[in-house]
Amino acid sequence: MINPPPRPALRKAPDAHVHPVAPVPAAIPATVPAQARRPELRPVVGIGGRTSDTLVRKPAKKTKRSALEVKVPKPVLKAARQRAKARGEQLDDVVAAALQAYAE
Amino acid sequence: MDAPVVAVLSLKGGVGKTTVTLGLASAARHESRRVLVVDLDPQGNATAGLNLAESPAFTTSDVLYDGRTGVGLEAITSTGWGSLVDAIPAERALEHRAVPSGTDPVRRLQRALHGAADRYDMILLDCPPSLGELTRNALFAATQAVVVTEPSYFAVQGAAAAVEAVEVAGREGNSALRVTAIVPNRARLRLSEHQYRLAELHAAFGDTVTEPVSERTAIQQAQGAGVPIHDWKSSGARSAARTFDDLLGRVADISGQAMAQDIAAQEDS
Repeated sequence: MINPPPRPALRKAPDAHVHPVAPVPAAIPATVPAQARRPELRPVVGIGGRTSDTLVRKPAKKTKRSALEVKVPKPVLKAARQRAKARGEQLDDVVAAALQAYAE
Repeated sequence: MDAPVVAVLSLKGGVGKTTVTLGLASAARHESRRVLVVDLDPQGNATAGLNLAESPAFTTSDVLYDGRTGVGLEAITSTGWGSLVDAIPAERALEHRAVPSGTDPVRRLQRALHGAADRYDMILLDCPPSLGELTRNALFAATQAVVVTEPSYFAVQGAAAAVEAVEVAGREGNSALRVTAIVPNRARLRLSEHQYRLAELHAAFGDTVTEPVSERTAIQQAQGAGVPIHDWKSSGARSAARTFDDLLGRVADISGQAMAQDIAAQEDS
């Protein structure tokens, strides 16, 4: 018989002392990083989806994707990768959504 | 049978969501029921009204940031209303949680409150006045919605929008959710405009509309003193308390019907 590992206690959110009007430092992830969570909190596919937009918008049909090579400042790429990882998202999806918003 | 989880919402600000939340909590306490008030409004008015003895260690902001299953239980704190009424308080930083984040973001609150329904007779979710991520989380965690409005043109429009939001949440995954009551608050029945808007509400929503909560100084006095309306000594307070008793009866009645349906379904299967 193996005892489960200790469950980390609830902690104050790192942005607890940041005024809502002030910008949140980039170093603070929007949620607890995925690797710090327990296994049952891995991404859930389906109703309720990855963002709340599923409430009002039908999921986009899968379309064929093409490769796009762009050059961006290194710090931007690093920060975007970190944020996507923390939110359990693929950087490809984030860039595609940004480009789609721009195109529309 | 799990306790009913009641989202108290309105998309218009200042109509009295917190007044109704605290009124329901007061009525439940008066009937010796255990209540958990979850403050989802970064303004923290419900938190202030519950007269917490000391600064809370954790808030709904921390709970939603963490997002683990059942983690909300660690943020529950006692209130100045006695042993029957607990709270997960709010703080200004809850505003940071008003955008979707993490995986399956609309169910973060539902996951975090896992296990709470076993410990209480009722869970009240006091929503902010918007259809943002916090209200969406409430609508996916709740089994009932109480829509608060007032007898004015904009508020009636806000009530219709809130009912529509509940229907969307029901279609998109929370099929158990229903509008239990539409509560006209701050009514002054001598005003013809209020009479007109109340008639409009009844025409649009029928029996879902409850008796109006009259505008009373006693409600504000009790909130200012941080005590339940049932403990405030005045005729206005007694009248308001009776209105909240009736509303609690409606919420409990719906819960009872749901329980009967569950039992019938179990017997059929």
